[in-house]
Amino acid sequence: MEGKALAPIIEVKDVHKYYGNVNALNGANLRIFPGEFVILVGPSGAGKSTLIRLLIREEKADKGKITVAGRNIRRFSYRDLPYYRRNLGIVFQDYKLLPNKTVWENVAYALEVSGASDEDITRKVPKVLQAVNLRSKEDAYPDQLSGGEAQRVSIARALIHNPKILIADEPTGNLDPEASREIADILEKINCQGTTIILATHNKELVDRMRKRVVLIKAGKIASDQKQGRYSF
Amino acid sequence: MTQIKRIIKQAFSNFIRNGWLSLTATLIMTLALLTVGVFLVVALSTNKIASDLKDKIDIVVNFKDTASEALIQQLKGDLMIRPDIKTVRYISKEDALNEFKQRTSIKEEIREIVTPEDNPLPRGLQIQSVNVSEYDYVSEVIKKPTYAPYIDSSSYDDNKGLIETVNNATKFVERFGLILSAFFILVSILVVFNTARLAVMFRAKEIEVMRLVGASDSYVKMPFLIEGFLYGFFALIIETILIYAGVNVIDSISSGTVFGQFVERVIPIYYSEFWFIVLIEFIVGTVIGVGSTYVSIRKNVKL
Repeated sequence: MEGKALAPIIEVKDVHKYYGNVNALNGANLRIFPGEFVILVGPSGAGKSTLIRLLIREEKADKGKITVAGRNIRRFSYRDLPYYRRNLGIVFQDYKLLPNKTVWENVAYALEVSGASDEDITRKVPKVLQAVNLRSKEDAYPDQLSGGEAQRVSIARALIHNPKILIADEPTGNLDPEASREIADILEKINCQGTTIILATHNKELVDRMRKRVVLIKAGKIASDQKQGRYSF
Repeated sequence: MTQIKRIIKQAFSNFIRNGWLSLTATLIMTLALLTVGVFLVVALSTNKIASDLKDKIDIVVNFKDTASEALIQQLKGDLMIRPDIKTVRYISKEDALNEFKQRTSIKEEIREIVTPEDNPLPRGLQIQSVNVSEYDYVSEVIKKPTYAPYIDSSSYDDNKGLIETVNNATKFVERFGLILSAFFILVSILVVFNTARLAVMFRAKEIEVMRLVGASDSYVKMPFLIEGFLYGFFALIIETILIYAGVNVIDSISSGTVFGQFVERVIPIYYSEFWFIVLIEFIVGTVIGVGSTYVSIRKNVKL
């Protein structure tokens, strides 16, 4: 891969994370380069979600070092976090949309919090909604959407800052196969435009179809790392 | 500036979209303010009525004709030293006669017996005090050997019972009112605090999402605090309308009854103190609304 000549955009070095006596991550090492599409697979409880929580700094590693875009994210103070997160796109299994806001407002909110101007918002929101094919639903509330649509809103929101990295934790976990394929297509499209994508998933069909770099996490460690991998553990 | 505008806009939009929650919180705040409001009206009225009553209580010391003018002035001087004694008015024989003539409660024939030439009415001092307990001091002074032989009578003993009743009633209202209002304010705080806590807990997930999309601490908190302010503000409007209407309804149904006499005295006090009452309630509402929301956010949301 030509990207390997560059410095990694994410580097996970000997990371450990404990929950009481449970060792959720046990010396994980991983390097991800700009523009890569990395799929994290592994049995439930293997440490995928823990790794993602550490990457978005919902939690801190107990040992080891995580560097994102050259910065040690463990050092971020509580006040730095909002700024860090504005540079990441994050997509969750349960969408995490604000229930009292319309599709448009949910996407616009991510821009509002960063102090974007009204003109900026009116210019960017329609574009990103267009990209996930949701212009027609912009006035709907989250509970009026199908799972696939809600997830697309969540992706639109993640993309609004034009992030260098997009992290998706089981984005197809609640979706039917067709909606899942749609989400996968959107993610591939985003990746083609240069965004680094980290996707944690259990969706075998998706992984096998995409033929991307597949990182298998087992018992808190990276068990295998294949360039054009398949879903197997 | 844009951020402030957005925060305020968000608070209003949340207030409207969380209709039921806002309505519940506002109504509970209304009840809390209602207790505060009723207490304020009653407390202000009793205070005013009691002080009016105290103003009407006075002691009149009547002198025998043997008492010299100098002695009367000396007593007046002795009494005026006391800071609590408001006025000491000298009543000459002529003044006494004029007042006597104006008393319609006395029969015409009797009034005519007394003339300026044959005036048995005594000279006197009319004493008014800010503090009714001061009348005990007056009573002691006039019993001194210097004055006692020249004093014909004093109204101290007649008024003593009334003075004590007013004294006790005022003290009772002050103490009881204070305890009652403290109790109601405490209950309101607990109730509103719990409502705010529920509101925040109910939306804890929302707050988490806001943080995850990169909202800063104050950007997350401010709309909630403004919502808390709005609960208090709207509650104040509803409560003021209710008390205003209530006072007028009570006025119209109680007129002509014994209770009506009390109400007649309360209403002008309510009107004259209207803005003071609103201001106090505004402060109470804001402190409870914003304060309990703030504490709820701090306690229930890991930001």
